Amino acid sequence: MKIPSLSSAEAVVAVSGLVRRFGEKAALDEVSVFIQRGSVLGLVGENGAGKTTLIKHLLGMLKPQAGTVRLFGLDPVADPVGVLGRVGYLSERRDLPGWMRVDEFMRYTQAFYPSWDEGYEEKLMEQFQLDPGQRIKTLSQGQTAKAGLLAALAYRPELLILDEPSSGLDPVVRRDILEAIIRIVAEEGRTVLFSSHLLDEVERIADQVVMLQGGRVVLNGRTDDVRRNHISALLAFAEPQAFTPVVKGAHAVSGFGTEWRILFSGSQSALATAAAGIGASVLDERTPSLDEILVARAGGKGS
Amino acid sequence: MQLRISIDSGVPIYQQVVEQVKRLVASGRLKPGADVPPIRVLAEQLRINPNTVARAYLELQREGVIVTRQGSGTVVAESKPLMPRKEKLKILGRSADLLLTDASHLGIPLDDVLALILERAEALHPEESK
Amino acid sequence: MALGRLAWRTPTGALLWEIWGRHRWSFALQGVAFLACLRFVRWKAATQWEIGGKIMSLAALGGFVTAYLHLLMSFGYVEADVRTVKVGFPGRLFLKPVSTSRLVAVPMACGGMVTLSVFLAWAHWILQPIGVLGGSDLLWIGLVQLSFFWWLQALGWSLPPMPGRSLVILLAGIAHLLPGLMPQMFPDLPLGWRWLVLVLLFFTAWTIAGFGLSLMRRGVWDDPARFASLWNLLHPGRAHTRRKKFRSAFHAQLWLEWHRQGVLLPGMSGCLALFVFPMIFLIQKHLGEAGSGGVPEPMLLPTVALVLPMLLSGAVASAMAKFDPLQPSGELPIYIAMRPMTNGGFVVVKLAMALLASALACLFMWGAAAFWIAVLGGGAAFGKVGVATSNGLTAFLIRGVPLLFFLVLFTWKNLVAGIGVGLTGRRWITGLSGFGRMAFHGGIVVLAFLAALDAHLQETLLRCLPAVLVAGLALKIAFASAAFFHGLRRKAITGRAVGWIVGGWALAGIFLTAYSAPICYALGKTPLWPQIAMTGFLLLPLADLAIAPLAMTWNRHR
Repeated sequence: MKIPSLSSAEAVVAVSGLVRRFGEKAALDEVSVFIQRGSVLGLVGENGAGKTTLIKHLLGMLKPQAGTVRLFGLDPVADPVGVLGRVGYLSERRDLPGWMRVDEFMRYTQAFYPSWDEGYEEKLMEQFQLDPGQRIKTLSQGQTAKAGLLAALAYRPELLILDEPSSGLDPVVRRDILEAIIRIVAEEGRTVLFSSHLLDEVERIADQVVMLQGGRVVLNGRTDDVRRNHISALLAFAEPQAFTPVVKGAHAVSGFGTEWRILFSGSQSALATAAAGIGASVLDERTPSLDEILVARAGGKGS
Repeated sequence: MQLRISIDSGVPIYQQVVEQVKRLVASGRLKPGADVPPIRVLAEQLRINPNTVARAYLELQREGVIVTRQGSGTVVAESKPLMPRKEKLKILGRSADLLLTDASHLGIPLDDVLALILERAEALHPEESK
Repeated sequence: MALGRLAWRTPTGALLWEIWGRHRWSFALQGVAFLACLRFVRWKAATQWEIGGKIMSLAALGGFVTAYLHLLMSFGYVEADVRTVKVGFPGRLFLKPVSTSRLVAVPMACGGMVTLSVFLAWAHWILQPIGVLGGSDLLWIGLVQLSFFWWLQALGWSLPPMPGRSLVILLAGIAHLLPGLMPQMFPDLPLGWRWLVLVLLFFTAWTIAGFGLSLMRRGVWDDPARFASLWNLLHPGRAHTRRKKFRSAFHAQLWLEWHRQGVLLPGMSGCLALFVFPMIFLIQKHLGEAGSGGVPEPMLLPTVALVLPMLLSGAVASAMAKFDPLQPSGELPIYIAMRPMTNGGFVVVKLAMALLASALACLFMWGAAAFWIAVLGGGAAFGKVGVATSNGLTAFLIRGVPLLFFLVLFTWKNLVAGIGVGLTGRRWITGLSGFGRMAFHGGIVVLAFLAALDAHLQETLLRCLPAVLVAGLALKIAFASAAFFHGLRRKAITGRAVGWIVGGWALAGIFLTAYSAPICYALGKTPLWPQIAMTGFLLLPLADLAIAPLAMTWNRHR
């Protein structure tokens, strides 16, 4: 099994300089993202940061206003057949045709994909405990998500795009879905892009993390690197601080009196320098979780 | 082979896998020649990215802890790998750091900490320390 | 003012306010339409211009029908949920701290009163003066109308989401024709009996609504297993059979389109066919006996049958371009947009679906016509049809079969004519185009009308006609070629699909040309034949179909 690297030229998804505006609001601003074959990319960001908009561009449902989008080297707008035949997609709203029965939906979907694997479909159907005779509109939220995922997995797509696959689901269903993703990745050459609010999921299964904020990419790198490039540090001041101290390179500062916790992006020596500059000493430091980084980056703009 | 992955620990996941496998081998819970679970199985079990497991296995192979044989999968290496003393001390160092930080917060002097360590060691393995 | 605002704060007030707030502008529009029609009634009484009066009468009737349908929609209080595909009483209101009886009573009482008064106002001041309602008993019709409205509400709310739900509602609505015609049909019936029927109807509607809504509110129908078991009981063995694989993506998409859109036209035609013929028969008989309408026209029945699907297709055409009739905007559902199919492929499927729907709708109608003629009219009616086709069965086969083909063709044309515009999925474009179409057709009607009055204008128009037709045809072909070229270059359509569309257009055009030749000869208008043939080609959609893949591209890749 090859370990995917960011530098390899074989990008399954190549987005560069993508711009999208809805009226005045820039939904995507100069977004560039590359995903290597066989890797898992976690797309994170607040609601409205542009995650779904980016995903819709990948599927050709939105047309780039500037910049390029390529999947497998093909333009999804110019060649929807060539691209969509190799992509599996679970939409955020899970809009499936409620009037169809589960098996009708599967047959309908199957007709479009020659690579549909009936044995795999049956296996998943059993594993997900779906009743083929049930109407989709009567399925529970978790079952709907599973049905959508099944239809996206059964033809073994080269690229799997999941928009918030686990939002609103209970832990059991979430686990099922996570395991299905892991199994897909474990097969040679399958690439996954998923957006999520659940950062511990992203941390567990993403090789690469892209964080969007206000339509811009604010973080893009290997999951480990992203975490290692941030330090959560406790600063101690000699005197109680009446106002929130300003620390260069810090994304969030919170605390009271003499002790303040900051989320710093940069090396340890840079942190030491920055702390010394404002007359504080570093009490302890640790690697923050992605969750902390996201919250700090998203909420700490002003401080 | 039972591993535990902690997301909040600050240690990269692949490193957690490497360290825990090494620890299992060092403690004898993984005997030489024992099967190491395939990448897919371990990834599913721990619910982590298979690429991460692959990366950990690669590192373990490089260090000679495990070997991949054609046809029979991955097993723990026959010759008990000589984990460099430096490496072992590095693993312990992390725990020591935590202990010392706590001690300094509680205002316990270093001598008392050392005494405590000896005392605990005696309580845990009475016959060894004699 | 403050008191007025406070009055809204009661639960009843809030329920009423919701209706009012949502529809106030359309209510205002209705008022304007009413006043305009009132003004016209005055004008008609004063003028001598007969044709103008007739046209305006039709317009007033159309105004009334639109206004009434709008009232039904706004007070019907039935909401559709796109996601769960549920239609019925707005479920969100169940969460309000209001008793079920009030939830029932407010929209029923208030809606009933409004529709009754609006109906009476239109009937008294507009419909009767222009002679549509004659001297009928307005109050009686108004009250039957009230029952009709209440029944629609009651069934619309309380019927569980079972298959055939809308059919039951439709039949219940149609059944109200019987009490409506009671004074004519049973003139000897004592008045008390009529009122008893009415009171019974009212009572049943309210009971159904109250009982049904309380069941609904308790979530009795929410359990899908309840229906699944019933359904499985009726279709043993069906639940566990694995659905057969589709032969191709085309077949799968056709299956989907058929279930979403295709059944609409044949279904409507089939339902109408059930009762439209007996109704015409009854009316003819009634008029014939009364002696007011003269002898019933023997060709009326078959003509209605032949033309009805064509008329209906115009009504459902606007929905054809959508992929889901419940979807308010024309945007593609994601589960369709993400399928690897060319945009032209989706268009071709729609065309095929429309053809299937047209053919079936026409067949239903003709079958029903034949059935009712046989049942009601006996051999005599068939004889009359035979006379009308002058030489019996042989003539029917020679002339009638192409005619039927012609009707299917034009039903289909009606269905797909707006597809290129509709597939853009943008409301402003469909709105604008609808307006443009209306203006264009209206202009032609006005021109024809003026030409009928002015001989000089008529001559000029006839002289210009060939040139106009040639120019129109050239324009159409040029436009379609440009669109096809673009579509091919952008891979929106395959060469094969272009071949199908152009080939189909040419074949249909040739059929019309060939079909019109003997007719022109028989009518002694042979010189007009090339012009009629050209008109045929011009009427058949080509440009619209050519831009459809591009429109689809624009919709799918926003």
